[in-house]
Amino acid sequence: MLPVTGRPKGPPLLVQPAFVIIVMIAAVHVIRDAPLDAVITYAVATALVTEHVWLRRRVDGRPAAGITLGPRSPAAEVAGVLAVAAAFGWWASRWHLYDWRLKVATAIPGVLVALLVFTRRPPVAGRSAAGPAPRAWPWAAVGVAICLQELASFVQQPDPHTGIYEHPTVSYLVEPLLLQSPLVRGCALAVWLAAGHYLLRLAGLTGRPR
Amino acid sequence: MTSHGLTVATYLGLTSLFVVLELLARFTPLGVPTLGSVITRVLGHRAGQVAVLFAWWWIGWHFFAN
Repeated sequence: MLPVTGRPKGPPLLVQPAFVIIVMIAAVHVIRDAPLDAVITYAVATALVTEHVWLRRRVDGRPAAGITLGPRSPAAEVAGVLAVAAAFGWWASRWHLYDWRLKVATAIPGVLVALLVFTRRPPVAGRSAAGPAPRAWPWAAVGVAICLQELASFVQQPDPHTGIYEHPTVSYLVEPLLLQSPLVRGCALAVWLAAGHYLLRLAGLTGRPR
Repeated sequence: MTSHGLTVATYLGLTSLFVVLELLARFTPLGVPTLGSVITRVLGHRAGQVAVLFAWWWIGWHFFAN
């Protein structure tokens, strides 16, 4: 049976596309005059590098330790997640957009996920083969096209913080919906939280450490 | 069509392509992977895990808090 966690394999971290993208995004945050976002993104990149260096020096082959999350039964887990997401959406929708309490409410899941990720050893080649999935390029192409459209709208703004009607960014289009309706805001928060849990499941980070 | 309408239509068109790709992946033999399988593949490496999960978190942070 192949090990699923342990020493990092594959190309050096600094040339892996995902790491390069994180660094590029941090630079974009600097350009769009969002210093907090830039600091957080650079911190994430630094954490990745630190963990990578640490793991290169210390490998003991033991099973990964880490934080546990949720019950093991898939049905119970899904039901629990939906209930928690709905409760979170209802609870957090009472606050206005950008309220400090909403900042805390969205920061907490991020901190928990960071703890969950960095207390587990990373996956190694074998659980998932290195490189992109075969024929995955259409997905990448559409994703890049959306990013380019967003960039095209952004560069036509008079300044980084002022959207314009003629060339709206996604934020410019979505913000009125989230501002005006607590119901929409609550549903969006619930979907966001449930999506985060779904990604954790795909990453194998729910349930007991393997 | 105005610039606004054209931009919104572009966003909608590109987003709907995600749905089209998922349908092609599930119901045709073209060999297009599902979005879930692509994301799972990316999540198979630590940098991919961190990038995807950070992107998820940042979307919430950006739209709701910041």
